[in-house]
Order: sequence, then C-alpha cells, then structure tokens
Amino acid sequence: MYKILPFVSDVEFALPNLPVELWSIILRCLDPSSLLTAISSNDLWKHIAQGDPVLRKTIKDQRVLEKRRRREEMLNPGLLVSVTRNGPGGVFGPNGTKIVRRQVPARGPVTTLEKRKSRQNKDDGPLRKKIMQEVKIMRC
Amino acid sequence: MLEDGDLSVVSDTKTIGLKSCEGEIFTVSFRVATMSNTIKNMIEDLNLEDGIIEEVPLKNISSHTLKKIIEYCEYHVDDDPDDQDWEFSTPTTVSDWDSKLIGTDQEEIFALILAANFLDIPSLLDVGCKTVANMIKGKEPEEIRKIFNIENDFTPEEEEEMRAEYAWLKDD
Repeated sequence: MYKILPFVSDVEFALPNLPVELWSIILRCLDPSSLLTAISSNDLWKHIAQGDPVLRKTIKDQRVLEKRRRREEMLNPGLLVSVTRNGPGGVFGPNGTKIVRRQVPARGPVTTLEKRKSRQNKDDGPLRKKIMQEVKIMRC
Repeated sequence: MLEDGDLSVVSDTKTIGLKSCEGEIFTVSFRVATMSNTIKNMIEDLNLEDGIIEEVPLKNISSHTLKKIIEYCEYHVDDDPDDQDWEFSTPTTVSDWDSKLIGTDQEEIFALILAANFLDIPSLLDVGCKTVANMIKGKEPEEIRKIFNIENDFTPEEEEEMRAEYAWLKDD
C-alpha cells in the first residue's frame, strides 16, 4: 500500500483536488462502460476503483460477462456470421457469388502471457491488428 | 436540546451569519441554514437556537461558492427530504435549474462539491457529483484527459493494452 502512496499523491496534483471518497462517489454515478473508459484514462481513478468495493464489483461483473461472451464465441462461431440481405441483389454478388459478412471482434485472439510478452518485445508493427469487419466473398 | 421537528418550527425571523474566507458575511434564515447538516448539528450541539448568531466562520469556502450554495438552499428549502433518494444511482439526471446554478466551470464545480461535502448537504453533493459524472460519461480516455487536464501517465504499450482490454465494451 505504501508503495502506491507517493504515486497517488503525484497524480492528484494533475487532477482537480478532490478527496478520494468524493471521486469514488462520482465514479459510482457512471455506467459500467463509462467507468471502464474512465479508469483506463488515468491511474488515480484506477486505484480508486480498485479500492472501492462497489466499483470493484462492477468491474468484476463486467469481466465475467466478457469471459462468458468469449466462451460463447469460441463454442458457437456461427453466431458471428450474419448474412445481409439488402434488397433483391443483396445476397448474391456478381457471378453468382454469395456475400457473407463476418464480424470479427475488435480485440485480437486470446493469447497466452508468454506470447503477449514476446510480441511486446518486437518493435515492428502495432501490437494488435484491429479488424472490425471483414467482407468475404465466397463462391456459392 | 431541540428535536428535529422543532428546528423547522424555529421562526424564519431568526438568522444566522455565514462568513466566507474573504470575510464577507451572508445572512440567511435558520431554516435555510439548517439544510446543511453540519450547521444544523452545530446549532443543536451548542444549544444556540434562542438567539441570532452573528457569524459562522467557513474558512474553506469562498464568497462565490457560498453565494451559490445559499441560492441552492433557498430554492430547495421546501423540498421533502424523504423524497430524494439518496442513492448513488446510475441515471445521472440533473434538473435544469440545478445545472444552470452549478454552471460549467470545472473549478467552480469542484469547489462546490468540496463545500457541499464539508457542509454536509447531501442533495447538493449528489447534484455536483452527477454533473461531473456527466462530463466523464461516454467519452474516450483521450477526451477525458483533455477535459480534466490530466497528463497521460501510461506508456504507449500500457495504453494499447488497456484499449485492447476494454475494446469489447464499445462493440455493443
């Protein structure tokens, strides 16, 4: 705990000078998604969120939900594929090809810690490629 | 010692002076002043309910903030205290009148929150915190840093890690 203290007091000067308990009230007003964005923006809030039982529980619940979603994705990859039908010619492209829209989650694949570390050591390229949507044209 | 109910009966003619850190004295009625639990407790504890109190020094509150607080208290003095659900609920709605009073200047808002905390006015503290929460809500980390003038204390690697970690939140 004492390791954190000098760091926390350091950060506190950058932020408007509110005591920790008031920040925790403010953070409690946020919805889960905003809360996680907020705590990823600076370290003091992150420490506060970790120290506050209510906020900690919110974050933990969100993580559990995400884990469940990931498992669902792994077990049921079919859920990620959706066929779009925009009008009569929507499904079939030229030459009788079928258009299938595949949604790939924003984060990279699940990696082990070692893999992640070795990837961090490499300087080239971004850490994770972000592929939001990938349109695949498959032969029908 | 007065009961809770008795204090509200104490006539409006009795006044209490609140002295800001600049030395300016604001005279308000008992009823308005007792919106603040700190002042209410002080009056009860010191048994001062018979007379007029000249001044209560509030050394950590500026005149500007104090003026706003008094305005808030005068407006909300007739509110039913049981009506306000004093819960840190997620819906962060602030009434138009309140948000107009609080304004948008960050320093003022934080001074107001600190003063509300010191004077123990739960409803005002709630409104202030919700205002700040609304400022944070739905923003990207970079925007939040910009709003609150926070230096980015993460390394680029950490930041990328964070973004990857929380990216799933924006999918929905």
